[in-house]
Amino acid sequence: MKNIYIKGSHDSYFIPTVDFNADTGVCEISGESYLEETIKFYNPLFEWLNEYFTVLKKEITFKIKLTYFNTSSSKCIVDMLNMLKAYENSGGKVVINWYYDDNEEDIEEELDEVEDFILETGLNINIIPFSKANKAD
Amino acid sequence: MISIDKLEILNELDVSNTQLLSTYEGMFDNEMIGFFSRRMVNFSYDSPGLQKKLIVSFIELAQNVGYYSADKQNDFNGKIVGVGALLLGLRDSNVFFCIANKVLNSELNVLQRKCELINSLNREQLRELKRNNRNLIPGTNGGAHIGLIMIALITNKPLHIQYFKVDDTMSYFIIYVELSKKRAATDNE
Repeated sequence: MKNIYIKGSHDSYFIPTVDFNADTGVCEISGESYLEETIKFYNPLFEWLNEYFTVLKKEITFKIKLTYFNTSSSKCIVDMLNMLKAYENSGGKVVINWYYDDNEEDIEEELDEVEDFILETGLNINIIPFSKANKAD
Repeated sequence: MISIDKLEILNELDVSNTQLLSTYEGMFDNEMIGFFSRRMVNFSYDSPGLQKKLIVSFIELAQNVGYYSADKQNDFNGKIVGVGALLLGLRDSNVFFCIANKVLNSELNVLQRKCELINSLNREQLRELKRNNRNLIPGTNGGAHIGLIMIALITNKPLHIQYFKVDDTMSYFIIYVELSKKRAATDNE
């Protein structure tokens, strides 16, 4: 199964860096997500996850290090998390880590959003400050 | 196009301490959104978090105009983009912007009810509404149905809205956002 790697960029739109590794089972999305065609960008990621869950059926560690995402992107993030929840419900082992910048103040809304993802999906998401990221990984 | 004197919402501002920095009328395409986002980055803020709130609010509302304005034009690539108006200014230690776009009168009631609902809810209720709406089928352009809810949550204020009728077909929808560049003083300060 092929890996996915998308190098992020910050021009007119903000493309996140995506690194999904089928060999290690570690999938990471980082940077910022504000896209011209959000669903078109995330569709290949949904397809990759679907193949991983149905063919490889291995443990997956999902790392989210997004510092900004618009509301369209948040919908796709929820959809991915719901896929992870369905995999977990079917017996798959899922670890999800959400990283935030603990040096940044005024991030209550960001952490509220992560709490809302937890409530919407029923997943256990580990909320990890960047300062402790290396120890947690 | 809309003229500034129609924006009664601005009458509430104390103009003696208001500095109007930019006005814009035209397509809300990505170049426009990028230009004004970068403009807002250049103001000084107490923290990056406060800067982020303003820019996130602006991008969300500007994207809404680009996608949903009832007044549309073709950009240079032939892509259809919504048209609207923007005012950007400073008032004391606050940054404000005002965005206006046309909406169909047939859709105005729905929009008004949505705004009234948002303004009637407390923070926890807004978060619940956001969670429920996000599970709906995506709208046009992948919309998550939560943009205006997010504005209320980010600004921690009711939506400041004005509408006025243009003709039998269309009205203007105007939203005003004001955020401080300074962190609020705490009891310990």
